[in-house]
Amino acid sequence: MLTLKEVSLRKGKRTYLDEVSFTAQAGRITAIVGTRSAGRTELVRVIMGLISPDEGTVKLEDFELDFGDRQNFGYLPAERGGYPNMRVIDQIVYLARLHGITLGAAERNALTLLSRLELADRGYAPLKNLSGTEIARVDIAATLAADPDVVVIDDAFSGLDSQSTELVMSLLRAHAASGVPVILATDNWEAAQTHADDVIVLSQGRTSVSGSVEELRSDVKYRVELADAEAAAKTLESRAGISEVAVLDSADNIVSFRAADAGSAAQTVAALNGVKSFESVRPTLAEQYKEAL
Amino acid sequence: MAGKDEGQDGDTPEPQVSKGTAGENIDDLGTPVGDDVAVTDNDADSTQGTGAKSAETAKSAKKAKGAKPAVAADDADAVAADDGLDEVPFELAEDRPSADELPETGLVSEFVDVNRRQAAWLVSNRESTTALRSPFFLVTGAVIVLGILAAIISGVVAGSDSKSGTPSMAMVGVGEQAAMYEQQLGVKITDAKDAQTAEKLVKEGKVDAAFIQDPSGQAQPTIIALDEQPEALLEKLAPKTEATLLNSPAVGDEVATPLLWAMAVFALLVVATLGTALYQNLRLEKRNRITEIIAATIPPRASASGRITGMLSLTAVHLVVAIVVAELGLSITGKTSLAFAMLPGLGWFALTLLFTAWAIYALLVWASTVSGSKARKTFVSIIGVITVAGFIAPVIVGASGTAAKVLSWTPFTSPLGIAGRFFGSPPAWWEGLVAAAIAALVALIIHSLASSAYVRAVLTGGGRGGKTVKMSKRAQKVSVGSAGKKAGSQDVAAESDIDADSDSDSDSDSVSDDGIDSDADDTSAKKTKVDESTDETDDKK
Repeated sequence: MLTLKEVSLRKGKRTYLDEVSFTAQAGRITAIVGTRSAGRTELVRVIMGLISPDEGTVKLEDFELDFGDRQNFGYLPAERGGYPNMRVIDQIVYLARLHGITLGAAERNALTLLSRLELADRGYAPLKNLSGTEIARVDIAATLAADPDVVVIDDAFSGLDSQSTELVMSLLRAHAASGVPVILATDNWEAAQTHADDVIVLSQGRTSVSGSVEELRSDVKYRVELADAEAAAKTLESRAGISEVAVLDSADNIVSFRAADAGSAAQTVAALNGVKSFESVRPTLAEQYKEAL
Repeated sequence: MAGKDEGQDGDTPEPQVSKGTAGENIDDLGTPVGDDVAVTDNDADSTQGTGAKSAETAKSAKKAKGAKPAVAADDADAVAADDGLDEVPFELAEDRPSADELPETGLVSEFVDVNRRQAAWLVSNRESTTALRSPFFLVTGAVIVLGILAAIISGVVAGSDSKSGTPSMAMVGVGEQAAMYEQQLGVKITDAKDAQTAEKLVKEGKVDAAFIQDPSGQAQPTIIALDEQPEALLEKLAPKTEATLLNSPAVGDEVATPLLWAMAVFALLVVATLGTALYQNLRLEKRNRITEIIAATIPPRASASGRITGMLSLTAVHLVVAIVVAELGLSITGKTSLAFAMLPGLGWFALTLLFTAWAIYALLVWASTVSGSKARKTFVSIIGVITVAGFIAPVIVGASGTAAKVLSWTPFTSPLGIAGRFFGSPPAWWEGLVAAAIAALVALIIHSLASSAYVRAVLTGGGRGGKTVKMSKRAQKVSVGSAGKKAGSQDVAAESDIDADSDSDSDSDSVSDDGIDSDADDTSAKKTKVDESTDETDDKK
């Protein structure tokens, strides 16, 4: 379990991180999501000890981390691509061995990871001969080859196509399942929503939304399409247990509302006249972010 | 703890132990595998060795989840048994734990302590291996060896030419006395009937010159030649008188001067090739942020040192090969005395060049950390000028005089300076030692400054401010891990000179906002310099 507590990072008048706190649970994938300049990279660097925050602490379990205590953290910065003239396997083994893993284990892990990432036939080619997505997968393999205790990947989905993303995420999921906190920083809301267990949404260096994806998306809204949206909205507003009634599209006569549960929503809609369709809608992370702002 | 040596019956090797290139029981970092290897295991006391608190904590977290199964010695045999030895050859079965035994990740956790020296070795090994495989290195090596061989062969050919070219001369009416003259003068004598015949022999190129006496005997005899002075013949007829030198040179001028030029070219070739490789690698790592990965894993100082020592080892290889080829070549071609005479000069040249190369490589590491392409190019140009001037100046100045003495002790000029002096009238042996000591001291100082600059460049967080990253824990841990001794905390505070370039990795000057404070060598935290314009640039990017 990796815990950040009230981490702040400033430079001059600019605040990069403002009292950011969160916990990356062992066994779960935590996504740090935010737009550009939200402070994702700074937060990742603070986690990796490459920047000391002005305030706040970074703890692994109950132990406050200092520089040099992250030897077996697997870290991948936002840029992809390693040593172009080096063979893929040599590259992975070299970076893994810096963590202290033995040569034999590093070689074995490199082969295992390359195989899992469908790069088994590319292991002995120089990196420059690989395509962009292959290089991105090699970088992931290099990050995991030392069997790290914490995985931190900046711009996690960078350079990956949909197939590669699936491969990488299954690997990261397996790694997380072995009791490791996996932290992914990304500006890809959709990917974070799909692949992460927990999310921290950063906005201008502050945590605007945080929690498990399941929780964040449990705030279901209901949408009903009917003959007369205005009249239906008035009816809904008068009903107990119904809130946040809004006419989304008066031309298409769509009304949204929130209800205590699906049953009461269905009962309420059944009482309305001219219902054409009725559905429940889970909010996306992006919508949550907008709402929080 | 499960170590390689703990195979229970001695027959079955452990399944998870390194099968690397190092010898049995020894990881190639030089660490006995059986002693310090930590294997992730379900046994409560199985995780040892790394000494990192974080690692231990996290490993315990993993264990709590029960997701990292055992790879211990006891299980190895069970694994082999489960796999069915009837079907799989024993040698292969030992390496294949069953799928159930493998962790979900399929990865092996087997660690050794990596102290600062070993970390530097890993980096050094990569640098030297990469450079070794580069075509530039191979071409340089080939050029150097072929150049030396060509010089030796051309020297032999020239020598044999001078031996076979016994001057010849036509003399009028010497008759049977020709043989006597030949013996006395060491000149081939051809008898000519008269002056016209002798002149004809010269014109036909059958003799180098003709010796014609005045028929009256009144005037001096004349020597006629075709179109150039027959120097060799004239020297035979009237040899020069030479003074005996009190300080005779170890190597004659006719050899020493071209030899020094060749050594200057050699030094430039080697340092330029390896220095360029080093610099390009550093820039590449900065561009791809591999620097950050390495900095988060091993002490940045070890990383900087590893790069320099990697290139130094290749410089040493070049030097040894060049000297061995030259000395062997000279010995084989019968110039053993020259080979011996050159040895002291070559020896001091090699030693001082190694230290000078050390300083140059350290300067290049330093240059690679400078923000802004203009500043960086200026820095590299200065290093280039210092190197070229340093290697050439002593050859031009010569081996004698006060200037030569000063140059032989001055950093960067000392390799060629001291070699030139040893090729001339050899100075006292300790003068070579002084030159080497000064070069080593300067290299050490530059190395220290360059390492500090590298640390600062890595740990400034791309200009995002924050406090100075301190490395006390790292230094302490590495010391404890390596020697098992309690090491004093080495506070290495990296000054937060901001390196906006490291974030955007643009070579554009617009994103470069600082220089490097070369005076600050890791002592204390200083206030971060702030340049708001850089912030804005970063944000735009």
